[in-house]
Amino acid sequence: MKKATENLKTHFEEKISNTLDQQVDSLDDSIVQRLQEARQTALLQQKKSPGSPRLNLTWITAAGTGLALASVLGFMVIPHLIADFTNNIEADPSLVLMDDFEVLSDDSDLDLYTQLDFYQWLDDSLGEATL
Amino acid sequence: MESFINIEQFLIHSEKRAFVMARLATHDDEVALDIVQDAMLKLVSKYSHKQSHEWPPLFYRILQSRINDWYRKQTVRNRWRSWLGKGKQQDEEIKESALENNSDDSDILPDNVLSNMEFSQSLQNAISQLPLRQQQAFMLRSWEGYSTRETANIMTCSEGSVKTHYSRALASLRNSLKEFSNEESH
Repeated sequence: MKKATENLKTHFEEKISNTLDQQVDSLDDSIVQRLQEARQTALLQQKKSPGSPRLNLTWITAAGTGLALASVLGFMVIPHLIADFTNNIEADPSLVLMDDFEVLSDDSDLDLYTQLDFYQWLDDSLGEATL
Repeated sequence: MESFINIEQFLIHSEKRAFVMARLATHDDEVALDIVQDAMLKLVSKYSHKQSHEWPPLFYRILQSRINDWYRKQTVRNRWRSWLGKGKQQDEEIKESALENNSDDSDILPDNVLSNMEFSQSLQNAISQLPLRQQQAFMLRSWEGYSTRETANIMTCSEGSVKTHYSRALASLRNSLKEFSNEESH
């Protein structure tokens, strides 16, 4: 509820408000026209804003183009990489690491490598004995 | 506060009032148009999805923010102009232009219309001469009818500040327009 002192202001403020309203109503036609144009421009933005079909289409187009480009690059680059790898193997079979495979597949040889110190000592001992 | 069916209806209702507000603050039709257009663009692009009752305070908040930005830039420009000695010359030109624009048709208009025009012009001058924050508080509270709390939210300041700005604005306007006070009592 307004205070009594505020009620005293009301008439003065009312007159000011009415005068300002009159200024709004008496704006030049050129100003009114330009405000309408500004409003239309603003409303066009709404149609372009997120969530609208036009923007979704834009995003879908961009995503599709990106995917297509990635696919083309993939098909162009991946065969070259595979070919390079195959050529390297043919040129140098050691790249396949067959030695490692043999070691891992033969238990006896693996024992030899793990007990190498023992066989080294045995060889040295036998050598001394024969001398 | 009025309710609006869509944002276009709200803009139709508010654009002229916003323009008058911006023009009072900037004293320039072109600048005022730019500010109103910016405010409309931002409201539509950022807040059109909000509920309709939220649009008015958001719109006036954007508008006042744009006016504040312009005012700050203008203050800096004026400081440089005065430092370069161009301000005085430009002020004189503005005064001459204002005098030309205010040359009224007093000899062909009835007394009551003339009186209204004089009050309107004096009011425009009086509001324009208020400090910006006082002007904003007065326009939002008195003309747009926002509460102290809503005005504080729009102006991004405390309710106490709004009360202070508003009461000072009212006192200044009463003082500036006291020559019309006799007409009020009739």
